[in-house]
Amino acid sequence: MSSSLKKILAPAASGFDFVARASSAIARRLRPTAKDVGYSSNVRFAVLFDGSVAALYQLKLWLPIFETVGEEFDVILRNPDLVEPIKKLTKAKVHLLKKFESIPNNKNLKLLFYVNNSPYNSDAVKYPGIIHVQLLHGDSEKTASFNPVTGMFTKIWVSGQAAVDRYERNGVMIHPSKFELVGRPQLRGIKASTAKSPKRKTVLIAPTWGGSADGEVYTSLGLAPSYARELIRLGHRVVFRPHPFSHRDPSDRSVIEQVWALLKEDGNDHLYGPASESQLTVTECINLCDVMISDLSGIVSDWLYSLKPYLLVSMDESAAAFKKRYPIAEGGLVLTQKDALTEELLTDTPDLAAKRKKIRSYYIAGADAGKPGDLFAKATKAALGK
Amino acid sequence: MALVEKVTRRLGYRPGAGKLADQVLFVSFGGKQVSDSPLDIYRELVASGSNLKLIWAVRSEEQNIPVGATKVVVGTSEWFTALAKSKYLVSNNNLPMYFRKSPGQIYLQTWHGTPLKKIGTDIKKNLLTPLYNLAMKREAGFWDYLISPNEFSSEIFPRAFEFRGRLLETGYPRNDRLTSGHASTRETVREQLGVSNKETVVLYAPTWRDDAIDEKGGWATVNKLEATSFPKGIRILYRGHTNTLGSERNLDSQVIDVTTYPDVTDLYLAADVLVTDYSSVMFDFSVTGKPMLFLCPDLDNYEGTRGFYFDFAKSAPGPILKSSKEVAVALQNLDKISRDYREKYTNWRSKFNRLEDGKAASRVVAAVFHA
Repeated sequence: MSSSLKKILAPAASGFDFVARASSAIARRLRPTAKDVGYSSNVRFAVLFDGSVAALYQLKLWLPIFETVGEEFDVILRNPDLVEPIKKLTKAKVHLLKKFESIPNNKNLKLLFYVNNSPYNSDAVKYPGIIHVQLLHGDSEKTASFNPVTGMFTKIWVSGQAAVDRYERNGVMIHPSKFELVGRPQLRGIKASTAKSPKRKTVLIAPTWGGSADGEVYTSLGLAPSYARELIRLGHRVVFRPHPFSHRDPSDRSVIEQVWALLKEDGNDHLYGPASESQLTVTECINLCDVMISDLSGIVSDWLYSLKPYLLVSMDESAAAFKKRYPIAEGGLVLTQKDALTEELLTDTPDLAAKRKKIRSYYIAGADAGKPGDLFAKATKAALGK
Repeated sequence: MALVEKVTRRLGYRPGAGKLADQVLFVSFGGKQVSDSPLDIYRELVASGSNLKLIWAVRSEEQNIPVGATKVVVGTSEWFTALAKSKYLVSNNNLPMYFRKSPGQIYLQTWHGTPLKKIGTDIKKNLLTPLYNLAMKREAGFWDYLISPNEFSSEIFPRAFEFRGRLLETGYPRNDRLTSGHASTRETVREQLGVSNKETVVLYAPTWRDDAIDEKGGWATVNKLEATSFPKGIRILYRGHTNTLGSERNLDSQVIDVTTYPDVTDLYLAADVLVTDYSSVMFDFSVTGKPMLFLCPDLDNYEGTRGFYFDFAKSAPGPILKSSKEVAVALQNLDKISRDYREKYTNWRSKFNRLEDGKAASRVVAAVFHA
């Protein structure tokens, strides 16, 4: 089995959809692909994206941001399945390349963005004369946010100093000059609020997905049914937004359906399914809710911008150990598998509110001054030599 | 024809189809018993005045269930309907492999013991491991709630079962009756078994062995206690493990076979001393504070094959004995043994029985049924 096929199969190997996913992966490899005519373009910046259709959200997060730069750019792909879905998302030209060796054909290319840790990134990073910038697609405390592979890029644009420190804290030594703090331009629409939550709260349940590179358990999805039941009992409104990847694992999918069934049975104005997962953006979900229950999902640092209270679930260590390991937990309360939700836990305290204010600019550079996109725009301009 | 009928009923199993009914299905050891924590949760629900319909799964029509409950026999079409339609499921063990949860069903797994020997994914060497682990992982994905009897188990269960739902660290409902009165149970049970109040009752409850198979291919009865040489005034109650129920027991005529006695908790109350090996009964019996002896002639082999979570030989709250003769001697010296093991017994209880205050079932019912 080739290493790439193994990579495609690995995340599914634990699930029951193994056969289905294996056959679709094989089919993809057997399908005659369009002849690689090489990269022909003269744009000054582009984004290179490799991943599955399910991973498309990673690129989706950045496309609108690239569009604010104010000049034409390309999307470079190697998975043919992505061409059509991406064309629907952007006016940028989409180039499907079988190999990345024709990238240097574009002599104008100054800046090449990457938004994930695809193993194929290195096939493009090797070309000199281009500033290769890793943006990633979220700022979480998970291993993806301190992957040693990230060190290979020319530059790593991160949200805030917290992201820089995270590499070092986890023993991944990257020269400080590689980092640039650009904030989170995606947070533009998020409204910060320090107002007291209403009595009937709208509570966002947003667990991350079950997989991880290191085999550790991060997802609190398994607790979502009991949180939903407790919130219903306390009379609150639930907005349930699981990670898009959780739909592809049969056991996670059954937990999602469990939550849907419980919310449906209650019959109140809860939001779940397409209503909260596709009809609303992350930003809209955040603006709609008063409190969030999450874990090590990237949504936490986005939520932090809103200054509203949050609870984080630690799946495999004590609350104290969790806080020590993940500084973002300082701004909220930490739950374990043993803790039931109570009214008290959902109620904010002045102490926590003050802590959130303090750690916000540590996680999101420039959060207390200017607009969320300002630092990114400035960095892009500088890289393009404008 | 029987097989055709069986298959037809099985095909009629439609989890997820139709509305759930306001009812609870209780299953103890797959229906082999009406016992263990499911029974105490059942009683607590009845006491709380719940309006839910309460159903017990059994293996045969002859099994008794509490008055007022509904009986379903495992494998019948009524069973499949109850399994698919009950809003709540309460079980102390894995449900059958064909089980799938209907969305919206609330599954409370009570489990059935604090682990000494490695369980689930922690088992390194076991013939059954790959299949068992796959089934276990799938099953644990269905559990909304899992009861943990103590902090020690809370550390082990989520990892060993890959369980990601809510852990109810409440103590064991099945042990509620060991602390909350029931002084008369001792007399009642002894009377039922034909044992006088003056006799010293020894409850012998060994666990099963992975590698002991009987001629029928099932797990064989384990009996390492030769009771013939025991002095007068001592009565042995033999309690086989639920895994070895199908195996011939061939016990000595003086020994009372209590293997099929419905509820082992009653036997703890009736007994004066426990003799076991590696069974999790040791974590429950210690709630009573009565002496325990460990008959473990195969300790090295057993620990070597299965693996323990802690140094059992070092922390056992009673002597580890190698032969029936040593047991007979120990039974003559129970007072001295109690004195010698006082500290270890106390440590044992504070580690494993801290939550056993007689109210575990009410904590569970509050958390799961919001009652």
